[in-house]
Amino acid sequence: MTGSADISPEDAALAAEYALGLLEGDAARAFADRFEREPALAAEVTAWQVQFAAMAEAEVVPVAPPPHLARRIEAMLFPDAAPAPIRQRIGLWRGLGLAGVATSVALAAILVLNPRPAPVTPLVADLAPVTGTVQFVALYDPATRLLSVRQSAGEARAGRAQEVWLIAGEDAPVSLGLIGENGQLRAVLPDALGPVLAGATLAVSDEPVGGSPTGAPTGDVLAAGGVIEI
Amino acid sequence: MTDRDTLENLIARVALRDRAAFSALYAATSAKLYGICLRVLKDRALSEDALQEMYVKIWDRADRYQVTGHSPMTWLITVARNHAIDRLRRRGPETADIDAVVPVASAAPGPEAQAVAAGEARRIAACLDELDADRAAAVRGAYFDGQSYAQLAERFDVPLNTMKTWLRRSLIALKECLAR
Repeated sequence: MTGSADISPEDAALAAEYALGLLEGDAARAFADRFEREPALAAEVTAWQVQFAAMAEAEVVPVAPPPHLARRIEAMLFPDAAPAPIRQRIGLWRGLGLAGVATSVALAAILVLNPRPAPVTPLVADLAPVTGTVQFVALYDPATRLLSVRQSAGEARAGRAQEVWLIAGEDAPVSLGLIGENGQLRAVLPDALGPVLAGATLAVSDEPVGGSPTGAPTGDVLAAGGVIEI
Repeated sequence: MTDRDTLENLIARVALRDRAAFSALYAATSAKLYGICLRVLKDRALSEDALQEMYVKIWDRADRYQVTGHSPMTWLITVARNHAIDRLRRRGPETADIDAVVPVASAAPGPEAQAVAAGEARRIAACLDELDADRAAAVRGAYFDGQSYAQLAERFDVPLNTMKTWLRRSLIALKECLAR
């Protein structure tokens, strides 16, 4: 092991306990204070992390994650690069672009998708009913990257879920999560989504409990609206 | 398994927002990290969510990698383990931030100290074998299951202070073995 040779056995054990997460409360805080001042102690923690990672390397069997997970991660991180064919299979969502003409003054911005800086002013969207009567309002705070969507009118369908989607330009809809029992969704968006949010469309679809099984919207579009700066 | 230089190169490119490098890094490392999630969380749906959050973090914070002084697999495994344990404990807000993988940047060991070579993995396995089976199981319980001293004491049916003494002695013995 390549930690510091001249560290006491007691400190070596403490460093190992810290790396394992066994120190709690005051003991953890006292230890954290010490390695600000004692590089040898910090090096000892690092050396234990290397050893425990080697244990995981030796003992954990690799398992290929399901293929849909890579698509989900990349769609979330790179919303402007999502493959178009998925969107084209869902004729329903083409109609949404037309609904957007009537409701959104930001349509020109939706169609011209250039790399943009992350917004600095808050963004809002008013999601008007498309099918049925439910409506939503959405607020995005760029400082915290927190998106809040709240149902503002109408009745949710019993035994069904309401899923929120971001549609940027010609890209496939990206799921942002489900509206909860309290009529709200709160989600921290990854860095990459901030810049495409202004001028994009937010939509809510009707889905089975647990959300869309395919990663793309499958049910009625309940409400939709353009995202604008305020 | 992909070698260290290749992974370092991929992480450096990910820090520069290279999407192809991100896909390659995911292809090279996701099976190991998903295996760790499954080992800790023992649930496929939770593990998928944890893995997704991890790679979003890796994309957003790859520039933090250089300052940690770890080899790429050590860094990724430590991020994965800490994140999965955090999900498991669900104690308040998320704490297993990438920045918390190592306590301070200035304490990074030299390059020769960083490699997680296959030899190192064999050595820790051999040294764990030298411990009593119960004690090696306690080390694994803390690392893979996030068990606290109180939970370990209950599991092995010993008083809390006995458990602490027991595990500390085992960790010191482990270090002596690793130094040989």
